[in-house]
Amino acid sequence: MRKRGAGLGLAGPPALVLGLTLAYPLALILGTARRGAGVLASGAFLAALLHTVAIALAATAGAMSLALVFALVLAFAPFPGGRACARVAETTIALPSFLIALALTFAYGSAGVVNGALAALFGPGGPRVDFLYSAWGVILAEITIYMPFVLRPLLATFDAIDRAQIEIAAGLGAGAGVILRRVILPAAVPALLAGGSLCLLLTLNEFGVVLFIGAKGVITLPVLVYDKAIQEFDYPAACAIASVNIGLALALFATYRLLLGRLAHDAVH
Amino acid sequence: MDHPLPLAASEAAVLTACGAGLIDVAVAFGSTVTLDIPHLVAARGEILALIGPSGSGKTTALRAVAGFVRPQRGRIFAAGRDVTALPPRARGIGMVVQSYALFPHLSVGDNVAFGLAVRGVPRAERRQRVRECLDLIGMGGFETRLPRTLSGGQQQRVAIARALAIRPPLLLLDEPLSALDAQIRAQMVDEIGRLHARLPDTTILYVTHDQAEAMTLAHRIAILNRGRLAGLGSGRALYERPPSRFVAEFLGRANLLPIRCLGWDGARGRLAVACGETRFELATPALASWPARMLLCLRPHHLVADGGAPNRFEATLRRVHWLGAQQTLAVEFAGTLLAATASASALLPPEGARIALGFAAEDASLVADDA
Ligand SMILES: Nc1ncnc2c1ncn2[C@@H]1O[C@H](COP(=O)(O)OP(=O)(O)O)[C@@H](O)[C@H]1O
Ligand SMILES: [Mg+2]
Repeated sequence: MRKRGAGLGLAGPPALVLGLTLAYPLALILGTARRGAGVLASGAFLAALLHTVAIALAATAGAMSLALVFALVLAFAPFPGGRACARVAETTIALPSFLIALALTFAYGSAGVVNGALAALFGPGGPRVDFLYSAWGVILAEITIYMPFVLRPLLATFDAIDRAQIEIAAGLGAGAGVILRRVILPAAVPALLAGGSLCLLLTLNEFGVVLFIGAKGVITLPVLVYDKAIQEFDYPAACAIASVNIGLALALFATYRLLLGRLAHDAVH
Repeated sequence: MDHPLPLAASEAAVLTACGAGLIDVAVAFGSTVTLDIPHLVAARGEILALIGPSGSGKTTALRAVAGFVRPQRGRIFAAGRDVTALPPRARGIGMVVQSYALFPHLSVGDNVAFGLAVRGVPRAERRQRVRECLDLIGMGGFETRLPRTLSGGQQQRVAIARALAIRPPLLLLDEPLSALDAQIRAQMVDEIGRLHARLPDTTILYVTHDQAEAMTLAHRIAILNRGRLAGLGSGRALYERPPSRFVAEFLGRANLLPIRCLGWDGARGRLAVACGETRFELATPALASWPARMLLCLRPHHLVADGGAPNRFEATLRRVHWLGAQQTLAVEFAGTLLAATASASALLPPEGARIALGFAAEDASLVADDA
């Protein structure tokens, strides 16, 4: 009993800090949300919800596919400098996400390098490459930023596959396709799901990239919260939208933790 | 790759009947030659063990046969076919490795069925053959289990069943038992022996670092040293008449004494040699030429305390170990420490005293000092 009491005593300060910084504001938001629940029936909210989910799903699918191809090549058909490429790709984790958006603007924006080169080649005229200021631009930026979150666990998984498994499969008559489908991909599923759900979680919550790309008409939930709260001073509505965002994110986070647990379980056995 | 030399007709005929063969094979990683084997052929249905120290090229030799290592030169034969140019998947060879390498997400049944599914064997027949293979190795009823729920020994059986399911004429086993503890290992050696008795046409190349495994299972043993064939023959022949100092020391314990030749007595068929001041007579065949440095090779159980043998000498007793069935002795002779044996009941002088030892003329062999 004394031990437990001591444990509770130790848990006190962190609990207090957590309560003041996280739980209390969250409770306030949820409390305020009830008063602004009307916004949840508005067209703007539904459009933002749709945009958010669609962009997050597309960016996640893109990041997962890109990471899978990249990891397969790096692990099973390595080329000189490949690992260095992966390292560079992984450092994007360390950069603020809006910086990547900014870099893409420099590259593909209306006054960016690509459009500048095209203008020099074909004469003046409106931007020829114009996808950046649309949902596609946001998706491209988010793929670039979040691909490493899938790449990292995938590479770890692939490096841990006993190469003898692949040789045995080949010795039993399997070609590259069968080996990929029946030996490599099943091993990749937990990492792919864990990395993918983390990716989905982060893209659902992404704010900076959407703001920096500044695509016309691309309003996501976080951007809508920002608009309602900072520009329209409609705090109850902002809180209601934020609550939906939080609910989505928490549900996804639970899934992510579950998959991560499975991954650790598989690694142990 | 160099163009292989055309084979003589007689050689070609032998190879089309062989179980496995490496002819003039060289493998190099970078600039270091890892394997250089002029001729190593296993007969159909033979168990040929490959033994040698770690890093001697055993695994490389197996991988060359399986097709995962491309030799710089030479020809590889499997079940009478020249498979040198074939990819691994077209060679039809069964393989088992030390780590088992079972597919972790597939059930035992699906692991064993893997090769059959790849070959498009119909489902019903597949199931039948999976059951046969698992029964053969004593794993019937485990079809639905996942590999990680099995013990090491059970996983090894499944790995063997998976390799056998495609009915390969050639089975490659790379240290299959080295991850198991001693008791299960001994049991598995018997099991593999019984298995081969039921599949007598299956050729087995068996890599191991355990001499006892090789001696128990193999018809012949190939000893590799630094990528080269240091000896090839039955375990008994290699043990009793080792072709080189390396083989003498690698296979069991050997007492090696430097000697010089005194003369050949043709009438009695005896070779007279001297070690220091002591004269011995040996029943070895006459030597055509006498290498610069020769060693007398005596196995510990041939060097007996107080034996009535003709070759007698005195040594200093250093240590005695009583092992129940016999006593093992460490004795010092001509500045060398030798291992000898005495019966369990033999009365021995105290340690540090002189002791009489002897060996029969037939029990000694001569090896060139190649080390
Ligand atoms: N893929 C490889 N690349 C470079 N060196 C290798 C490779 N495979 C084996 N070797 C080297 O070849 C030698 C023989 O290895 P191996 O055949 O595995 O020996 P063994 O199985 O007898 O222990 C070792 O020195 C090892 O380092
Ligand atoms: Mg090896």
